[in-house]
Amino acid sequence: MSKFRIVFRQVYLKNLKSGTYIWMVLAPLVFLLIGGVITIGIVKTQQPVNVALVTPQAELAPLVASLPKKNDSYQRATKITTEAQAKRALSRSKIDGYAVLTSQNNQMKVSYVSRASGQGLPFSTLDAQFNQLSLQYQAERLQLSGAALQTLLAPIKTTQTTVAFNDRGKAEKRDNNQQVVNTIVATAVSVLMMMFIMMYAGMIASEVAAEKGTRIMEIVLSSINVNTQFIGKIVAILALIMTQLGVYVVLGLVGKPLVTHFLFQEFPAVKSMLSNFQLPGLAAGQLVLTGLFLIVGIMTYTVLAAMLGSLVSSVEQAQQAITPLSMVAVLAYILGIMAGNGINNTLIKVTAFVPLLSPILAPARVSAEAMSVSAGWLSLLISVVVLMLLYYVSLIFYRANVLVYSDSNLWQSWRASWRILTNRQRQSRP
Amino acid sequence: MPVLMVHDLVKKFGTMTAVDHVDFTLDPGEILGLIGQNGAGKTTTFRMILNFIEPDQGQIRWQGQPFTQAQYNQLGYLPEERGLFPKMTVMDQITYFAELRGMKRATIRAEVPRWLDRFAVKAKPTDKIRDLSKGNAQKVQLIATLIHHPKLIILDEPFSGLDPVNVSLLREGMLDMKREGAAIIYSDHNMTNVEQVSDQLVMLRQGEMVLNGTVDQVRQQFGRIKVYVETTLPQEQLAAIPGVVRITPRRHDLELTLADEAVGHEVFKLVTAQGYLPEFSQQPPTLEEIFKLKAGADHE
Ligand SMILES: Nc1ncnc2c1ncn2[C@@H]1O[C@H](COP(=O)(O)OP(=O)(O)O)[C@@H](O)[C@H]1O
Ligand SMILES: [Mg+2]
Repeated sequence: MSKFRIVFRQVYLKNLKSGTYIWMVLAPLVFLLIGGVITIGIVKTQQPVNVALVTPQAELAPLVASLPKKNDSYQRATKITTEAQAKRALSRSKIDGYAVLTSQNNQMKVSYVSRASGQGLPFSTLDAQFNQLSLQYQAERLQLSGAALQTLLAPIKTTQTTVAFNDRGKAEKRDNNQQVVNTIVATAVSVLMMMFIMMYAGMIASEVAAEKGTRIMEIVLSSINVNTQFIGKIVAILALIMTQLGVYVVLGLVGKPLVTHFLFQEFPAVKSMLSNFQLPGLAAGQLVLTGLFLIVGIMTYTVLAAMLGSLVSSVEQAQQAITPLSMVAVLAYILGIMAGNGINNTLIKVTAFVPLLSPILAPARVSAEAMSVSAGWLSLLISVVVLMLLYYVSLIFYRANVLVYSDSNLWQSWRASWRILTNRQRQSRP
Repeated sequence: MPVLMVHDLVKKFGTMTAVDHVDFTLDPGEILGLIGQNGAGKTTTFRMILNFIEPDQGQIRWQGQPFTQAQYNQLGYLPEERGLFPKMTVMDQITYFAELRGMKRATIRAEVPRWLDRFAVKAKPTDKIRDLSKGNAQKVQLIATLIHHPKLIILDEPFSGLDPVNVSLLREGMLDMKREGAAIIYSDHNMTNVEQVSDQLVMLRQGEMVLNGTVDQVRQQFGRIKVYVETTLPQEQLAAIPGVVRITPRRHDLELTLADEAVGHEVFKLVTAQGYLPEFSQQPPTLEEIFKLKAGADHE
């Protein structure tokens, strides 16, 4: 087995089995599950309102009976046909309320009775239905023609349109809820990106610092070339990210039919709720872009964290070493949240192309539909180029630092490593 | 061909010279003790041999060649500060290091129990490193250094922290590897183990080589400047002999340090003037004495 593969496998398996990694992979799923359970819980308590619709007048009974038995907002107790029965059912909490339809001097009248402790009656729906009924009743009484009746009964047509603009400046239909969803998705993207970046950066920094601190580094580097070791570690982290994304893809593929079959069947209300929103991140290109940004972003932070981890002499100092990186990540996160909330100033527009910031900011902006997908790809390209540059810079610093121990503080270590570097360069010049 | 040749090695840290013109060669089946007090430059010398740091001057040759990646698998290195992954099992830890030296996994798994036995490690292969005593952890690290039968073994202060039983286990281990033809270079901050295990001796003081050669050569280099004598004569009379540098009373006898081997004749004449005496012995200084002599000597 090649030495690269030995290092790779060691780092990969060690972290794969670590509690931190497993938690990081599961955390978004746990959040999703909790969110789902809460949503289902809310939907479940919102069972359709039970109402009884009755009339004491026999000539109105067919009309009442013609009303729908069930719709989105209520369910009728059809067995109850008299007010007395309705009263009894209400007192026993069998129904949430009832409506009594009467007609006096050809004028229809509805009186609602509902329990204070029960669910409120869907008055607007019921009103609309009774209005319709009344119209029908009056039309029949006035003996209007079928066509006239149709015209009279036709409800006013209304449409609501909110638009968002896509890449080609073409307006796409959006409803008002969409902006809320965009904000939620952009915020979720920022939070998860930030969380993953910090976890992976911490992982590689402690990995390096621990090996250095335990002097295992010396044994390893007397066995293999430092470049091989560095790339072995970095690629192992890349594999951990891919594994994590792979888990999500598999769970997504398995979970989707599960959700559509069971959840939507059990709780049609969830389906109707979700169908109100278009998830902006779910366009395939956008999803791939976000995934690639995740990988490139984490890798950029990872190579820098490996370099910073090589500066310190013990694992306890690893978190301190990556503090500057954490600060940049937090900045990116704040900008991402701002972008998600629709803030669109020059600062945010520009920083969406700045590596280290763009991995959080660009996907957030794309999710918020403030940035086109193609601009996102451009930003990704910039990040990839900078990642490659940073890889070499980090490797050079890593090589210079990883076997140098000092009790001095970080700043002094930095200066010392700089001196070692510049010395070496001076020496290597003929 | 020597396994290792170090020629005119110099390393400076800023204005301080840590290693100052160091030379030696090491043949297969030879053990070299690199002796010196703390800060003498032993670890720095090793780090240059291991290609961790670049010398400012001088050459290092591995079997006549500069260091290349091909040498990694022929090398065994025990760092001065010991360390293992606390969460790993003994087997996994040794396997990781041995695989990095190019050993096959199956071979390692098969050989580990034998090595644990040989060094009397009181642990099962499945035990976690963090559950081992310090001595056992050190021996596990030593096994990881030797298991792949390296041609060149570098041990940085391997004896420090070991109890006498483990010291002799380590000595035996080193001599076994020597019999297999390995070249061993180890460092120590005193001469205690040099006599039993070393063929060659290099002593550093502030980076400079103050001694260099086989153990016998080094001792003979000083001549027989020590006289141990049991006499009733007053010390003042002995001290009056020109060339007697120092007299140290011991339990039964006196230890005389001479400026020159020849002074021994004068001492002998004086103490035997009255006839019988139970002890007169003229010897070269012990390595320990040489160490003190050299370590304490003025730099100039
Ligand atoms: N990386 C370094 N930077 C500066 N000085 C160093 C460095 N490494 C070692 N030294 C100094 O070089 C001298 C020799 O150190 P070392 O080789 O570790 O001694 P030994 O191993 O014999 O105890 C010491 O004075 C030490 O402080
Ligand atoms: Mg040392």
